[in-house]
Amino acid sequence: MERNEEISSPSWLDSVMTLLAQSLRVDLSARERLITPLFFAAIILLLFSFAIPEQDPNLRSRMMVAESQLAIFFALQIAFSRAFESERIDRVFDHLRLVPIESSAFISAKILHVVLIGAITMAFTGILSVILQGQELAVLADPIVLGGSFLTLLGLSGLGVLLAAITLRADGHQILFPLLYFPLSVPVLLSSTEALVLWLERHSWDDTLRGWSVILIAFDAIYLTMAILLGAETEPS
Amino acid sequence: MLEVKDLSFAFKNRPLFQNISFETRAGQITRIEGPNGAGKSTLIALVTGLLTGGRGNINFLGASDYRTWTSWIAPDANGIFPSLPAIENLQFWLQIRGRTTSHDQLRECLTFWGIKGEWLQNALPTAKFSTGMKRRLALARLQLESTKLWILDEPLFGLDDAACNQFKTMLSRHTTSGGAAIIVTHDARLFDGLKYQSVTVGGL
Repeated sequence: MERNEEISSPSWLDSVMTLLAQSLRVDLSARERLITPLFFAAIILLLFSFAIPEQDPNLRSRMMVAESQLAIFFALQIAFSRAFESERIDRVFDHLRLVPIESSAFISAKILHVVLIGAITMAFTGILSVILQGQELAVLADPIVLGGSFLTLLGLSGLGVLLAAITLRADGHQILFPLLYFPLSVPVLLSSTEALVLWLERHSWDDTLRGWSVILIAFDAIYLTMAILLGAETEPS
Repeated sequence: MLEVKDLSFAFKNRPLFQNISFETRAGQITRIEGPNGAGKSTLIALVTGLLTGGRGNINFLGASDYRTWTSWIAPDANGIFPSLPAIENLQFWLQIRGRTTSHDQLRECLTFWGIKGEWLQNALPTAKFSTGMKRRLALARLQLESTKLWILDEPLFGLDDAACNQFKTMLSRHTTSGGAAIIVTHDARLFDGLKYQSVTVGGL
């Protein structure tokens, strides 16, 4: 076999796409990783619909946002806590540290991966919640609802990857992750829930709605930036 | 290719080894020797950069990112995605290094390492592989990566005699064609008939 003396490193984008494709391949080969968050979200929504069967029609949109946010929050916590699971096995992560890829490419691929998985979970949860609350499915096609949901997903994904990376080598990873994730996700959840409820109730872009949206975007930026910057810590020094 | 100078490491203020110096040039094999617990794997981890905190100098003499021309094998793991078959594992590790390798080349290499047939190569998740087969897969990856410097910690772990001989042949070809290797192993058979320099760790 010929030795390639001048092996060029793949570009940053190629690295991201290769890592993303591999994460999805691993997910598809172990389908319980995909199904578990969906199953969990469905159980939460069903429990809510049985526990609160009759309610004021005016409260329904508020209830729909609250229960779907809660279901997404817990379902994604399961997905995020396993974000680095395949790299923890057989020292794959150490092997990745010794191939010529930038750590920011690794973290970016992980964020894209969890956003993709999160989008599937979110779409499933949204549709089920709308059906169970007797709302119009068209509400899910509202650009503000879609945008708000996507920003929620971005913020939670940034935080999820950040915490998964921080706790990657921690012995108490399974306990540490939720302990950090629950309190730190409050700003994202609170601002997105308030913004979505305001929009569904009033359908007007007022100052209060703008204020909550700015808080949501600010925390998205903070968590995503922190997640990518933390990538530098994973490189060999 | 690699210069290690006065490398010392202490674990919780207890010195593990002190002032280790060696140089590995093209075509050279460096054998790291020492009893259990002497710090051989720690030395390898320091050299690769997986572990920090040592005192001394480690200089890779070559292209700026040493990771483009070095490969590593861990003593206790193979860096394999257990839910994926052998071919998909190889494809990923080569692709992430920017290498393009044909399906036929991958099959040929796996067959050389005794992982034969469509089912073993492309269907069975590697989690079902035996310890030796996983190591064979890691060595197939090493062969396909075709890097200049191999940093190998117990590469013969779990291998049968036939695979050990295959690895020895591969190592010999590697150094003959200008490659170098740093190897930790307690199996002296590997070095029978091969020229190597010895670095002893421990004795503190």
